[in-house]
Amino acid sequence: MDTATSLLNTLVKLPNSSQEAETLLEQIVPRISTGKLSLHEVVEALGTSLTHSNPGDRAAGTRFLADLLHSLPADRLNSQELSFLAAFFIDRLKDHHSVIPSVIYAYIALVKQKNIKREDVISLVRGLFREVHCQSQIMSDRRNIYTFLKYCLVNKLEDVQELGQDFVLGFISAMDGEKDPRNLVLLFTTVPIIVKCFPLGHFTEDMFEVVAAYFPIDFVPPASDPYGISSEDLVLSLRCALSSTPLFAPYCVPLLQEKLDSDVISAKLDALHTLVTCCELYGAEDISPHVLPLWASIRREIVEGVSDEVEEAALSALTAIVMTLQRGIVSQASRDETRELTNSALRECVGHLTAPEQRLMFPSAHLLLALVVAHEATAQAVCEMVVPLLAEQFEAKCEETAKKKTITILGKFLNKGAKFPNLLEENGSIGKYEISCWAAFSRGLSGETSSLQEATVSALTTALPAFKPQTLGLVAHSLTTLLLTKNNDLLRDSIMQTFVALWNIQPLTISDHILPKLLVELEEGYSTNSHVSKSQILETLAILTRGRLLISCVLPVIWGLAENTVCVSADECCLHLSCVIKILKNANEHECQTYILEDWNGIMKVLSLYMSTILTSHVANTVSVLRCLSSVCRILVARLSNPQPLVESFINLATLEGAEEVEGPAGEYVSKYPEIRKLMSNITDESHPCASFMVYLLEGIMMGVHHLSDTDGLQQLLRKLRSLSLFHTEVGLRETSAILHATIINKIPVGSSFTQALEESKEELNKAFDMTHAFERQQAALYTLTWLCKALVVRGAQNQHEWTAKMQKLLGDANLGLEAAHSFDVILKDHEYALRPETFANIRLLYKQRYFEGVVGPLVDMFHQSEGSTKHNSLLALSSLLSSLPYLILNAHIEKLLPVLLQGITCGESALTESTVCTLATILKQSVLHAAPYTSMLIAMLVPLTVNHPLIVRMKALECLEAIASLPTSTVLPYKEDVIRGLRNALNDKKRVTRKVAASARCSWILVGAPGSNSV
Amino acid sequence: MVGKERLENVNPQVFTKASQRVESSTDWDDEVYDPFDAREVFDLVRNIRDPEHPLTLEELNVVEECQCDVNDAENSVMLHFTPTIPHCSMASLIGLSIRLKLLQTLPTRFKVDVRISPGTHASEHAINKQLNDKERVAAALENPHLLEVINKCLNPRGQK
Repeated sequence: MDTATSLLNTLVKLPNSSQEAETLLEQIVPRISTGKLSLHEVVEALGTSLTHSNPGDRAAGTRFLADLLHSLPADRLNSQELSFLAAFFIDRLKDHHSVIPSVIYAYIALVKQKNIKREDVISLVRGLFREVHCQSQIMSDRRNIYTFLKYCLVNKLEDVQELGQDFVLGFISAMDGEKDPRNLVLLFTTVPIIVKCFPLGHFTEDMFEVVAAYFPIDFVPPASDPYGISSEDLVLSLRCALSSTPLFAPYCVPLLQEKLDSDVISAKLDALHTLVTCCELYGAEDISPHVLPLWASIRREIVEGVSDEVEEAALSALTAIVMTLQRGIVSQASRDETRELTNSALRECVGHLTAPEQRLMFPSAHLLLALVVAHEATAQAVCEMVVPLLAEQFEAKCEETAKKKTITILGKFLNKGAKFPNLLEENGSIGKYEISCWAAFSRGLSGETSSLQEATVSALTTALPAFKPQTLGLVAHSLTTLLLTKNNDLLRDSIMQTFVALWNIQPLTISDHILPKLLVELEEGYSTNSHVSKSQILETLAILTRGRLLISCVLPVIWGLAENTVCVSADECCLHLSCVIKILKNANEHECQTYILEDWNGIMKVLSLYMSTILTSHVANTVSVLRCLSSVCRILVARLSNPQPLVESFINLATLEGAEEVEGPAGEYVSKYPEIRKLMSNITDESHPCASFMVYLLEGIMMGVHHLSDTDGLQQLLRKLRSLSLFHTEVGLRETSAILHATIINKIPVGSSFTQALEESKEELNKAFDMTHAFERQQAALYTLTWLCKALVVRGAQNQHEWTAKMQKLLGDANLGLEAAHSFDVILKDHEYALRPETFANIRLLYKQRYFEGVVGPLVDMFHQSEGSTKHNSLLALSSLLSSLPYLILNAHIEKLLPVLLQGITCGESALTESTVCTLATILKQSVLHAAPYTSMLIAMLVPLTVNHPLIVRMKALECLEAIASLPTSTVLPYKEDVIRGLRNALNDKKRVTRKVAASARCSWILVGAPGSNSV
Repeated sequence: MVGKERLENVNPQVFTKASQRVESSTDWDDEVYDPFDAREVFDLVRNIRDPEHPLTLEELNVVEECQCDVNDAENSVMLHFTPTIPHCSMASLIGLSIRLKLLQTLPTRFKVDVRISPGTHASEHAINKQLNDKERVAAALENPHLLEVINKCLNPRGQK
């Protein structure tokens, strides 16, 4: 009790420094919360300072009380205490201006208390509105006022609603003239609540005016942006406020129209976007008085075509207006309004549609299309007029450009109109003209020039949804004929796109009309028909064959062809197999997979073809067939739900020593093809030339497995693979073995067998790098090492650094240095399939970044410290890494890298200069901003390179300079004159390609800081 | 309606663009000299934008490859351009843009003539005289407002 009394005594002489006040507060709050001190006692003790004659002391007292209230739990005070405090603070509002901020602060604490009574809330708000002139307060106090009001609106809405229009008036006068963006964002989000919950009455216009005064927002955040308010925050919150009620419509739409008619592009954009938002809430009667003037403005924007963004926004605004007119129960008036708008649009635009060689054809079409998208009624009216007109016009016009544009636009109208099923009916405005439309397309397909045919095909792709199944059959028929008779790549690509779109709409058309024709062509036609090659048909089939039905038609046929051609020509066979691979890759649905694996028995098929290829080895170039089969096998194994038994039994098979029984699924295959066993167990034996070919089959099977478990066989298999990759005489086989070896290492779980595998590899590799061996042997060792490193880097293994350091050491090797530098490329570049997610590699997130972070420092050091070829090799290693690195990571190291690259340029060795300047050009094009600190050095170095150097160096140097010109004007302006003068000679270069880059680089530099260049 | 007041020729005819220049086998051979030719000069000016439309001079057929005469050996370039309508008030502005672009991108050894195709504009002679008077061109390019308009036409970044 003593301490309490002494505390109260201290309170009487309230300390001035805020720190002491804080400690005092910390002591009092727990006592009040536990009831040891009552609020009354505290207020009484504070009495002297609260009633002191000096306003400064009164302010301090009030502040202390406010802080105290803020620190209390929200349910601590009862309603009597709160009434008392409320009355006290309302009275304090009349006090000296320096006291008022603390009172406002206390207001927030009071209203946050749970037990406060409705009357008290009301009188607090009334008092505030009566006594405080908001805009005379400083920013933070204004913020407190707005926070208080918003808190009332959100949490005590029913209480303040009693105030009715008084609240609205108070809010308007508090908000009027606010300038701080932080407060504005708060206010703009408060406005919609007031608009929704209070009767605005005769304050509607005032409320609108006070908000609309800020439209359009023109705000640039201060350079360091300390408060995190962006112009976009303001724009979006203001848009919400303006579009919060249809009551604003009579004022808002004219305002938007006025801004739309201004010359400022950002104002136009903002007005259009706001109009779209408003339309979502407005009813037909709100928008209808303004429709025609708005139409005129929107039309003008489209016709003038100042900016793409404005055009797009204007079109969506037009669509939104029509949707608003047709929303809900449509009155006769709004129906008339829509009709008038549509008629006026048709009157103005149709004239341009009939003059397709002129500029306004496309803009007019876009206006009409916006109407088609908006509503069925407008779509019906527009299509009724436009579709037959365009179809007829296509026949009538003879100029190619006119025909192309007409058919493209017709396609777009059909596409958008097809959204409404009623239009497609027999007597709908599209259904009626289906035949004449198709006639136009069909005429276009048989057009004289291939560019007209291309345009027709791509227009047809968009128009497909508008056609009935019957017509789609005709489409498929004509396109297939066209595909088979024309040998034109562009045309074939667009026909393929149409087929894919057709498959999505009507898959039956593909199986009924297209596939049979292609299969017939494939089986017999290609010798007689010279227009289209076999590979093109196969490619088409590969893209079209989707879904179980189509796969079961096509896959066996192509596989049969592959089996037949294997004895004739390996190339032919590979062609068919790669088609199979594409089909399999696309077959992702469950039922396709069951068909492929079970009904068709894919793995057995692969195995049988594999064995027959190996055993009838008279075919030249067997390896390519085996590789294709390996890929097929890889995809099939990856699709198996449980590949583990298959893989394990194959590992056993490969490591069998004696004549044990073969277990598991492999046993089944062995019993069918007994040769497998002999070949597999002699895989490393050079005296069996065919045996080593089994590596490809093993690769196919092992790649597809998700994870590997420890088995003795695995170590043995790894040993065999290493011996193949280090000692085999054939390069391709060595490389495949090295890749497979790496894939297995990547998948072994961490543990004793992983460590053992690495130990053994290290030992064998060390032996292989022995200088006494032939160069080829060392190369093989380097390749194995590189892939092993890649495997470890990809999985983010603990001891990867030990291995990558070994690679780096090799850069200094007299024999292998150059090779080693190039093999850095392998580590980061994605392989076609190995160590990738699709072959279930063990991949650590962001491994490229981690690896680069680890290796860039040592390489840069090596570059600085070494001489001659080692220096060259380390730079080469760096640039091989850069090309396959995500450029974001480059930004972090650009400071370290740029000096190295610059040295590489000036080193005087032409090959190195060339490769470095190429790397530099790539870096600068991706992220020029980071080069800003080096501008002066870069320019001084690059300008001389633009003359008297090899062609590539000149070009790349010019490209670098062009990239630098896009830096902020303030950075590059000082060098402008030098560069412009320096590039004058490059304009007279002897090569045209260089002159082209020089001209564009020089123009970019001339525009730096020039009027009208809109550079920053 | 407003559009028609601002633009003289609101709906000009639009022409297809020429395809990329076909590369010849010696293009990348550093030992062979590539002479300047009509196509190269045309490539320099074809992407200049029209002052009032979002279209290039090529699309409006204001410049054509066959209207560029280049003689590399004699260091001369003669370029004719065709205004879209005979009373086009933008003709001198377009001519100035072409002139400036060639000034910036051709080596100084060339003597450049920019002219209106005979008989395609009402005040053909006056404009020709203006465009080929060095001092008047230099004076015009000192005017920052004019330069702003021209730079907007020349700026490759502003193109759609």
